[in-house]
Amino acid sequence: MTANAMNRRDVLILAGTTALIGAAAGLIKPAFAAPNPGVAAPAFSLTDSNGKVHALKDYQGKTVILEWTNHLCPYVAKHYGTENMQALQRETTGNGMIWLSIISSAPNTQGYVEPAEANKLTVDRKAAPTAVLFDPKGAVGRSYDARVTPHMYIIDAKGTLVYMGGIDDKPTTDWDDVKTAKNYVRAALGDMANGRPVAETVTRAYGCTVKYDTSSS
Amino acid sequence: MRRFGQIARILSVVPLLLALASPAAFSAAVTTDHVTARILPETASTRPGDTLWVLLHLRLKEGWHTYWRNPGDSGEPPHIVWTLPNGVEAGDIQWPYPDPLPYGPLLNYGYSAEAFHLIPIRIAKDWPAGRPVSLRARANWLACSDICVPEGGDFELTLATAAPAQTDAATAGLFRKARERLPVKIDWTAGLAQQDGKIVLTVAGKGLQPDRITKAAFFPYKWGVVEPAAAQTLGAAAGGLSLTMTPGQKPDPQRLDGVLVLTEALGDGPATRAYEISAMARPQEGAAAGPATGTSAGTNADSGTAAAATANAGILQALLLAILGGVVLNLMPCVFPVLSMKAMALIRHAEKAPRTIRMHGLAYALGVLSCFAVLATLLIALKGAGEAVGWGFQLQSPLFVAVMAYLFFLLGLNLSGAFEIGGSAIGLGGNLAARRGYGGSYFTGVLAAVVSTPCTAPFMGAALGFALTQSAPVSLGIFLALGLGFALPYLLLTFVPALVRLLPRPGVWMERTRQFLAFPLYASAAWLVWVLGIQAGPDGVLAALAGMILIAFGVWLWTAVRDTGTRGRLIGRSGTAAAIIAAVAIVAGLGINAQPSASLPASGRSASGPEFEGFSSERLAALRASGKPVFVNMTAAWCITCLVNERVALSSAIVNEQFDALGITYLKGDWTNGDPQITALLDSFGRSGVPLYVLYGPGNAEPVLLPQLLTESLVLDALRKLSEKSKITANTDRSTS
Repeated sequence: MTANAMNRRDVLILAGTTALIGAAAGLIKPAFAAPNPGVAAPAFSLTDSNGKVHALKDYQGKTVILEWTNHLCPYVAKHYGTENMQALQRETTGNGMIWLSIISSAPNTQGYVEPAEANKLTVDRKAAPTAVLFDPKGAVGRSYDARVTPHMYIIDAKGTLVYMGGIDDKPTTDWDDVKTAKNYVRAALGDMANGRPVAETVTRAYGCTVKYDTSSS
Repeated sequence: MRRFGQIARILSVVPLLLALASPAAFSAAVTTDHVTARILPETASTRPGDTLWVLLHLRLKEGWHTYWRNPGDSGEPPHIVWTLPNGVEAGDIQWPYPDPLPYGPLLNYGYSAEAFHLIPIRIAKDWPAGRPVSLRARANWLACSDICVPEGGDFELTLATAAPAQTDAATAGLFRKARERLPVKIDWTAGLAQQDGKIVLTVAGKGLQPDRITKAAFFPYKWGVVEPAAAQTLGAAAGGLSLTMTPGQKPDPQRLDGVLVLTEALGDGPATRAYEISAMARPQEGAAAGPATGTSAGTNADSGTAAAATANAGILQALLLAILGGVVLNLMPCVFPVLSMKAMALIRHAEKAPRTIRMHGLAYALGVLSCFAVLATLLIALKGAGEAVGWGFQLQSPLFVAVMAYLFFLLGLNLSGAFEIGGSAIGLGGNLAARRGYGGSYFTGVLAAVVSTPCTAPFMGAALGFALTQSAPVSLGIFLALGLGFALPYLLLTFVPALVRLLPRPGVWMERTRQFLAFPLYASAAWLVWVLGIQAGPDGVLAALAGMILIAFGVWLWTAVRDTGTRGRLIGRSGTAAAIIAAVAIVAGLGINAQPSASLPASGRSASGPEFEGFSSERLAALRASGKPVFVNMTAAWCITCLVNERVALSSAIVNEQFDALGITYLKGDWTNGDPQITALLDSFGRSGVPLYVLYGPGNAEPVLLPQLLTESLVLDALRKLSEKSKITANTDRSTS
């Protein structure tokens, strides 16, 4: 009886109201999906400077360090010029950890290199990463919310992100600051080695913006 | 006597002129690949015990930028290392508010084209007078376009210690530009809350009306507390505004410090000014310890109102309060008569099938709810599109107010028995069953909700404004809860037949009650005409009253032709339609003269600032005729820029001293509710609104128009120029006498 008693206009009005409420509910946007320390690190699979493919899941059971880099950025130059970065690379890879340097610079932007040049840079700078990976589309960089070079991430043996942020606490291009700065990555690795939770899980990453491919954003 | 005073003042300028000639070494500009940098002192000399301002000025190549104190997603602010003699100290850089600089998905805070860094240099009291002060500085900055280059330079400057010297115009201009964008310290109340994963900053203060603000942006001092690239949404809050932001990588739920940049639309175009904000989260009353997930709107503007109550409540509590508010709305003079008539119709048809009556109740509730849903959706959508609207926005339109006044008048005439409308949506007291099914009940619901809006605006405005600062589903929920509460009494009557039986039996009393209830509606109409009077002045009142007469005429015509033939009815009804169209047409052109708002004091003195008197064109003309210097300030209670200008630039002791010294009469005009004399003066300067600042020199000198954003140094500069001019005038006077 209810449906019969309502004429067509009433039904239309009812439908219109329902549609309006639905439209209002549609205004809610999904929450911003950002990587968070304490949860699983975003999966990825990228090709390195020797053509080999590296997937994060290949390294389950090992601590993985990600370093976003751009060799022409003055902040990156500070940490390579002072051999600060290379020392950390040797320390970690020497202890069975995995160090992946990732280049998210799009072609024709600062920091983009061809594989041969990447290998030459590694040799010239006496760098010791496990591999140098290319992310020219920036998809992996964006999934990690990597904003600057250097932006550092540590993933534990279970695949959980435990640290994201800066290399240290002196956001300058002054090479002398490296000596007195507190290295957050080394501090986090120290906490992990001692079975402690990482004290500072998020810090300010300072440096140059990652030169993402802006045409796809 | 005045002449002697002037001469004395002029003689006192002589040492200043001598000081100008004394030696002062300026640092040469440092030119790098992307920047031309200079460090400039505000004056070439200083005195022991003084604070001297110096400026690190960076002129940037096109496409390059430097950074604010918090650079945002990347970058680094400039920094200066000083080498100073004992007894001289440099303070922190004062940062003008930055521009947002997007880069791909990221956002930085910084400056393009030019960057200004003001630094105070304090000279010890025991600095030997006469000994020059030499300052050395190493400044480093990061210049970026797509790529970043660290640059820097060494600077040296030597200052004479003598009486303060005059500044050349170019340097004064640079310092003025540097200060224009400095954040103003202000006594607004700021609060911080977390809501659905967002940060809600609430700011309450005098003159803060979100609907007058066209743009708002918050720049945090600390990295990571606010996501730089995420959108910020301006909303209304009790006594001010709210800004909803996305937390950054390192959120701080307890504290938020930074700079709030507001743009206000004014007569002379938009005015932008920055305010220093320090917001603290307040623990929720009665809530468990730990970061509150509820809200705590930081305001004390009108505590105890529905707004404050709602603000401190959880969402559930807010919904319950909204339902309660909806029930209360039924008692408002705008709504009660409509509802009573509906209830009386029920009494008359108590014998009808309960099911039919129930369906009518549901149709009515649906009408109410859909009306509230449409209004809420409209508001949320406007907000989403970045419009600065608040609840009650309808009442800011004189046309809406006038049409509502007509509607109440018409409903009143209907209750008074002046006319009956058969079978239409506004047939209030009519026969339920004879109406067009449930459509009639539905439209009664819509009508009841529409006529309730003028009452909701003043009584519930703040609470609903708060609702709008919430996420879309929550604010929609609050609006719908209000509608539900509004529909509840009638719904209850239709669902519980026993309640209807409790009501008195039908009888003559119903006709009398109906006629009596017309009067609250007339009262509502009168109130709306008063609102219109504030908005549109006496002309608006005249238009609305004339419109009401037209409507009464139309109603008479309608009833007069009821019993005539088809042709007569057609003519009569066309006449009615024409009368109503004409009634709407005469109010359609009404514009807002001024916001209804408290007026400012007619005369007096602000803090330690100069004394003022009320503006009138006669007084101005009289003062000008006697050749006296005059400062005119045109302001309004609703103009934040005006109020802040007075605070930062017109209320200090130095300005007061200068006003006194120059014998300036300070006239202040209050345009809060419009004023034809003030409007005429605004017009004569090509302005369509306040603020307006005019400095009339002595004699018949051309008036000097000051910009709509004032700083103290800007006012003092203008006064200094005036005193120089008067010196020349005085000199010529002296030579001719």
